Formats: sequence, C-alpha cells, structure tokens
Amino acid sequence: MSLDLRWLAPAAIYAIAPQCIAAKYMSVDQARTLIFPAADEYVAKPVQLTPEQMQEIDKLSGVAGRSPRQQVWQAISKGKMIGWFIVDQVIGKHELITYALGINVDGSVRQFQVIEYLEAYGSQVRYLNWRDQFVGKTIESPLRIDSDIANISGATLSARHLTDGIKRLLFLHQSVLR
Amino acid sequence: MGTLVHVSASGPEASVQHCVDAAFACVERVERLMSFHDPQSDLSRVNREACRTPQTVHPWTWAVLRRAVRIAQESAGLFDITVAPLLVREGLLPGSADSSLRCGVWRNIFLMPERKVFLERPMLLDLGGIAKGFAVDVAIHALRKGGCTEGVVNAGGDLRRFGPFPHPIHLRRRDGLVQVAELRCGAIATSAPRAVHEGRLAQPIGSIFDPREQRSWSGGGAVTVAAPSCVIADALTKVAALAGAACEPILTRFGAHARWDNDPASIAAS
Repeated sequence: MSLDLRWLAPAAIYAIAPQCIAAKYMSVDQARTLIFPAADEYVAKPVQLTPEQMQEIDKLSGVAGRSPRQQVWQAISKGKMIGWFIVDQVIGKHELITYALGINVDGSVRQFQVIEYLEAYGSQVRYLNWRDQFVGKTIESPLRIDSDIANISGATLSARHLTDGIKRLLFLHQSVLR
Repeated sequence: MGTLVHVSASGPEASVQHCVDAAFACVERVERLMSFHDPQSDLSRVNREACRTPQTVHPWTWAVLRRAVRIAQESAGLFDITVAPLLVREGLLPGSADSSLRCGVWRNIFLMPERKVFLERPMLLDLGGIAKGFAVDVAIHALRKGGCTEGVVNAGGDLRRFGPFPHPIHLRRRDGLVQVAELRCGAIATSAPRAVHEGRLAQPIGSIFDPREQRSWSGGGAVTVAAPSCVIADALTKVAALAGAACEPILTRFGAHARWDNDPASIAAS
C-alpha cells in the first residue's frame, strides 16, 4: 500500500471551474511510451500537406481532412526506425478528441490512445477492447463501423469519427510518409 | 450503500472482465456484512446481541471495526461509530424511539480474541462512515490479485486507484469539475455534508455528526483526504471536517493528507 499523489496549487483548484466534463487522459509523451515502449528516440517530422496532397488523401480515404498540418514523429529504437507516431484531432459530437496513432513500418496500425476527450458522453472509445480492434488494420481494411469495427452504443459519433480519422491517417502515411 | 460504484480496470483481456466482476462481488459482500438497514447483516447482529453475548464476526467486519476503534482512539473520539442513535433521532437511519436510549461511546466497544465483539452497554454501531472506503479497498485488491495493471474503484466520492501513470482527480462542483490533484496510486475521499444537489434532493447528500456537540456538523464546504488505503481516507474525512487543520498530526500518523475547500459549491471527488 502506498500513496503517490500530487496536490495542485490551491490557486489552480479554485480557479473558475470548467463547464463541461473534460478529461485529459495522458500526455503526448505517455501516449508515445504506451504505443512504442521500445523506442528510445523520437524525431519530429511535421507534415505540411499541399492542397493537391490533401485532396488526394481525402479522395483515397473518403474522409475530409481538418488541417494541412499534421504532428508526426518517427519512433526510433537503437538507431532503427520502428514506426510513425501521429497526434491528430477529430470531432466527437461537438468537441474535439485528441488522439495518438502509432503506425508500424509496414503501414499497419500498431495502437492508438485517446489523449484528451472533451465531451460528457462517449468516452468508452478509450476502452482497450474497442481500441484493440484497430491493431493490424491497413489501408486495405474497410475500417467501417458495424463492419470490421464494432459500434459503441452511446458513443456512436465518437467511434465513427475516430475510425474515420485513423483511416485517413493510414492513407496519409501511404501518400507522404513512406 | 446508497451510491453508485464505478470500477474500471485494464490488464490481460482474458482476466479483466473476471476481475471487474470479482470487484463488484466484493463490494456487495461488504454491503451484506455491514449494512445498518439489513437485519441479516453482521453489524445488525452485533447491534442486537453483542451487549449480551460476544458475537463472532466475519474477518472483513472485524477489520473494519478494528480500524474504526483505532481511528476513534487516535482522534480522541472525533470519529466514532457509536453515533447511530443520533442519526436515528435525525431521521437519517431507521429505528424505533428507544434507539435514543442506546447510547455509548467507542470506549464501550470491546474487541476480543477470536474476532469476538462485545458491547459494554446497549448501543448501536453504524459503519456508514468507514465501510464504503473498505469496500473500495477490497475491490481494488480483487483487481490487483487478478493481474490487472491498472484499476480504479469509485464509490460516490471514495476513490482508490493504482497504475503506472498519474491521473487527474476532479472535485465535482455545482458548476462543473475542478482538478484538485494527480494520483498514481492511493485513495482519495471527500465529504461535503452541506452540499445539496440543486433541484434534486431536499436533504444534504451526506451528514457528519459531531460527537462533541451531539448534533449534525454545521460547517460548510468540503474536505478531501488522501491516504494509502480508502478505508483510512473515508474515516479521516470526518476527523478532518470536524477538527480542521488542527488534525494534521493525526492524519500524518495514518500517512494521510487533507485539503479543505470552504466553497459551498463543492460536492464530491470523481
């Protein structure tokens, strides 16, 4: 039995309370460690898509991108590239969900983690058994709710939008990261 | 227990569901053993019979009683499980009129060898201020024993977790959630006796009785206590609410810390 706790400064506690139930589940660093435990180095490779590339990815994936800029890192283990790590945002129902996707060198999904979830409902998309469905998916996979990805009742929109987001990132990987 | 219990866990897929089921079973078992309302419970049997003949109780009931007596001792009676007659008088616990005659203090509880409990005089024990924390603890043990790598059990503001990363702890207030701390492993309990759910409950959602004044505590705001185990955190919220910052030496003896929030909008940790 032990206690490992850090109180926040009182000023932070009594600041004006947020109006919605927001949860930041982990930092980007924690997400990286969870997805690539073996990596010892991350090299930032921010991507700036040209309008043509955006259009191409939108067309291939069938999902409209939100921004031409994408936060991307290469995960390196002992000098060897072991995968890509991308932080992205999708709309849940009304608010943005921030998530991190790990892609293997072969272009398949390694895992994803929800970093921040700003809505009152639907955070079941964080559950491991739902996230595990994506492991190994590639651009060849349908990546569709109720087909190869199970729907979550009560979290339909979050589940659908995350699935779309991941699908789009796989096509982004194929188009510009390989 | 009159509250929602929330369990979440992660670990090997084959065992997680089983662990969560086991955790809920533990909570139910604590409820069955220590309910004041259920005439079949260990506690009700003690309340009926232990002033005549010592009663042998379940090891879990025994564990809770032992901690309750120890905390009563350390806090000089600020935490006292014998206040039940007062709660009956205020209509917060069921009971007949003669309940109010059954008054004693924690010193009248005798814990004897072989898990036997004896009450020196007719009195009523109520574990409402401690058993919920214990239920959270046994549920957490079930998750750990089953091989979960991370787990959280929250019973209406009595929360314990373990895992590799610190997680934010929020205080629920009428106007939303406020983060108060980051907890990697350990327990947090909150008492906010004056807090009223607007438009839903006419009564305060919790009560703290002041054994010194023999009546409901009239302070406002909330107190949050962090401790290695939830049973300790739960019980010490009462001490911390009644004694204020003066009780810090007592908390330290149990490895606990407290935060006081005098804003009446505070409700419970989640």
